[in-house]
Amino acid sequence: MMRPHRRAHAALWTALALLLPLAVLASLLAEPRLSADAPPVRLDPPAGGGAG
Amino acid sequence: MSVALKPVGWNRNKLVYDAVLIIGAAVYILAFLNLAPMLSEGAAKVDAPIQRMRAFGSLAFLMLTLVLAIGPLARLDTRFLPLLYNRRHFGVITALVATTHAVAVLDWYYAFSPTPQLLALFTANTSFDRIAGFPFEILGVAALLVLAVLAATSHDFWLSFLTPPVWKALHMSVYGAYGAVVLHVALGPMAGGRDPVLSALVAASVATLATLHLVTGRRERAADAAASPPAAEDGWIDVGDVSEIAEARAIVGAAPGGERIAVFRTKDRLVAISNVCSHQNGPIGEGKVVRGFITCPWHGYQYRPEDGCSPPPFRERIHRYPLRLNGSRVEVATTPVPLGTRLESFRIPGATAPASPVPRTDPPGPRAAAPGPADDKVAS
Repeated sequence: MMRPHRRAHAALWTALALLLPLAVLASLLAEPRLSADAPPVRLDPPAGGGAG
Repeated sequence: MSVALKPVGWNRNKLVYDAVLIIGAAVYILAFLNLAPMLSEGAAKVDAPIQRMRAFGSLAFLMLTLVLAIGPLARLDTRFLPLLYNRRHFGVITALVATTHAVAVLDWYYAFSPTPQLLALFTANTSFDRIAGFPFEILGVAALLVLAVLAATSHDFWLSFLTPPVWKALHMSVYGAYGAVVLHVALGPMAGGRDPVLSALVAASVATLATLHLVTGRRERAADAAASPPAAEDGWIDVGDVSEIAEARAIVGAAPGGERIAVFRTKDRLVAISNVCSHQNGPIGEGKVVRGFITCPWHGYQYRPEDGCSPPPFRERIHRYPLRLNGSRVEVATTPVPLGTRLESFRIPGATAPASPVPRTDPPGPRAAAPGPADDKVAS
């Protein structure tokens, strides 16, 4: 491999190693909430927030 | 590819490689469809089409993880080199599996959409302002588009047409595709911690790949930093002792600018040549001399020791460097001779050529076991 390629490779994987675990953690901890235009009658269990 | 376009230069190694991949994928799909309902109460309740899309989706993620692990594994341990040989076919099959997953999703969730299925996919959910409920499908589509472009340009025709630096830069977008796939899974089936097994598998994939790539990168940086010591005369570097070079193998030095130079020993002669293969920048110095040709360990591209050119009809060329001995120390000029210039190999004083043909050990990659120097260079 050439040097610029190696540098770009290292930068990309450093970014992925930092960002992906944070993103995965955030998605695991995120609480579902209904959108503002959600219909008032729903079949799924009630969740916090939203208009419903 | 340097002469003519062949769709695929098939050989036994590629056939075996692809057969193992396809059979492995089929076994995974069958195992998933049959075992998941038995092992998971939740999986037993879902419809068969959903089970199929999960099977193909998880297989695509697994294959993408494996294909991204091959590069660093081959850098860390030469026993993984055979996996690198046909890695592009691995990538193409991964793209096909991912496409099957996407088609299954569209056919199930958007089968009765009044608008075209793809339009419905992009417009059904626009909750971009939230994590739980984010339209994760779009991330999967983005990753699939990247994989499709990479699969379409994986042939050596595109490598030659785009030039290796541009082709390599384009194909590094697979890392972005991997990031998009992880987010696609994290914001979709993993969201809210609904599936702990899936969460553990995704975390293992991210941790393994990040560790492998960062450790390999660290090793390469260390090699770049450890430039060979300068020789007594300006413009020359001391690469090592001639006794360190095994027959048909090389030692690798580094010029002050970072250019790595491989010094091969073949019979009673020494040859200094660029360590960067003109095909995919493979580390030539980790290869060997096979039937008189310096052979790259990655895909078997070969070069004549005397001028750094591939044997006809191929046209690849790499730089050669002037070389001399100072006692037993091998010194190499840091400026190469022009590409294609014939430069006699350096004869080691007092050394004698082996009387019998050079003993061949098991090659690191499958290409070196091929019968001739130019048989499968039209790779795909």
